[in-house]
Amino acid sequence: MRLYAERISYRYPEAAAEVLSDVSFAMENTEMNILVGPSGCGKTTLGRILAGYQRPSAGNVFLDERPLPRKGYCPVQMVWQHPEMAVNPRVKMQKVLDEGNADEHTIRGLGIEKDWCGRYPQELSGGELQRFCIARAIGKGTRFLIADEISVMLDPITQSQIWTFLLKELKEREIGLILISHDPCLITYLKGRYSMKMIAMPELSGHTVG
Amino acid sequence: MDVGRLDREILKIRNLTVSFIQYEKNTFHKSALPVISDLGMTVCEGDVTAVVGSSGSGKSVLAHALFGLLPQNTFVDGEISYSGRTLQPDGAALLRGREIALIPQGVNCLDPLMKAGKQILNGKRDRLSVLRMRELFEKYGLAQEVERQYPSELSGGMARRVLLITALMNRPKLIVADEPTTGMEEALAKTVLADFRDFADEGNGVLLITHDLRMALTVADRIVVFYAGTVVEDAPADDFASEELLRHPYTKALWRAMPEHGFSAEPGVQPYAGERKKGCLFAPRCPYRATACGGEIPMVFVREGRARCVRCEEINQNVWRGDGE
Repeated sequence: MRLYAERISYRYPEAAAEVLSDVSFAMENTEMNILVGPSGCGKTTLGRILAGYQRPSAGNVFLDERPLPRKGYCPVQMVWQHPEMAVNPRVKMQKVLDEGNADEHTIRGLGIEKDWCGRYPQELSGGELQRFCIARAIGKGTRFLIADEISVMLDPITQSQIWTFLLKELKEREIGLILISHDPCLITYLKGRYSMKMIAMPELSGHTVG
Repeated sequence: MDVGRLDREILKIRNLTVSFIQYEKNTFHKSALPVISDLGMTVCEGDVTAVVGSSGSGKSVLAHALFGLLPQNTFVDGEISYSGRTLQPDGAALLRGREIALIPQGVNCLDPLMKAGKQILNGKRDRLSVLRMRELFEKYGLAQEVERQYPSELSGGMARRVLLITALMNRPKLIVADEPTTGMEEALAKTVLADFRDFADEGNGVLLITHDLRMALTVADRIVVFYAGTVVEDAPADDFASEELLRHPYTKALWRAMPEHGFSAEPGVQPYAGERKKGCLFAPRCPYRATACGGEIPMVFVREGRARCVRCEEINQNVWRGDGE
């Protein structure tokens, strides 16, 4: 499957300048890419547009020549930087998990304990919540995953647990990854180990790809 | 521990226990949920002491306990003293915001209905205070118009700088900073950390609370490792240069999990506050586990630091046993 963003522009309401102007981007679901660029350059905004959370002011996102589906399960899923803001604070974690369609293997692989499912989000730590958010995002229909600084709030052990499982899973199931990160050590490690490609945000503007 | 450090102690915590009192489900019985147990540590003048640990290990609770900011349903026991004066139970209220300052973790600690400048000045209107504020604004790259903006108009990084400036306004002697750099870009985070360093070098104390071990190592003199509500290791930052120099198996696991040291993922999670049993809480995940790990775990002095582990001496050679704390 091919994810293709064609000449995307985006301007936040009332903002003077465009965050994204004329950005084009393409990748296959077997690829893993690291999106880098200075803070405020629109990495997260591009992620939101690719995952269908936001519609661009101009341009289109295609999945295999078809526009990104507006209804049903979106094959492009996103995991957010702040897990506590990405779950409904008023429902128990089982319900959060049910929003996706994670199987037993994923739940176990991420180290989610049965007992956590009966708790509310505020009764879990950031690392525990992030495991739920990942489980929810890598359900059966997912073909691309956008990981926006998903491990900055985690201690080193949890970080490495989550990445080790996630990368194995993505490779096996041929889910494409767009990693947004500022952590130089994490980038160096993943780039070397999983032959990821670095994509600098500014390079995406102006010309078309694919 | 060397004698020089004892003279410089600015903050001393001994046998601190913090529990949340809760009603049990569907009953009128109350029970205590211990979140910090038997914790001891010190912060010295001239030092940046970093507390590292995963979320849920009790780091922020410690910060709130120091400042007397815990909710009503908490039970706090133990001794907290600042320059010889006790902060527990009510002493903190007199000193906080003056000699001791907290940089809270959440940017939602700002009053959403008050403009940033007004919050920083905290009721003061004199010229000196305003000048001090402007000087700090300039130092941390905030435009003057931020004074007149509400917290909702600030970005995460800007809000964090407002919290930092609020803490620095009254020239405190001790700063407790709870995750002060999350959400800041690298360059700004470095500036903030460098300022903590300078602040400590002027003879003040800094207690830096963070989950980011690598960041802590760039600035701290001592690293205190938290696990499940207590200190498992207290070590000079230099010991993190190699795994052999570290004392506790959890600290070693933390070290190995860093991307630059192999990114190895040990299985298991920290036990939840309600499910903590007797003995070493890291034992279920520990590769050095022994039967003695189920009993009382003493703090053992090893070289320039200490660790709470019964097998510490076997794991590390070249040891002397202190007479407890």
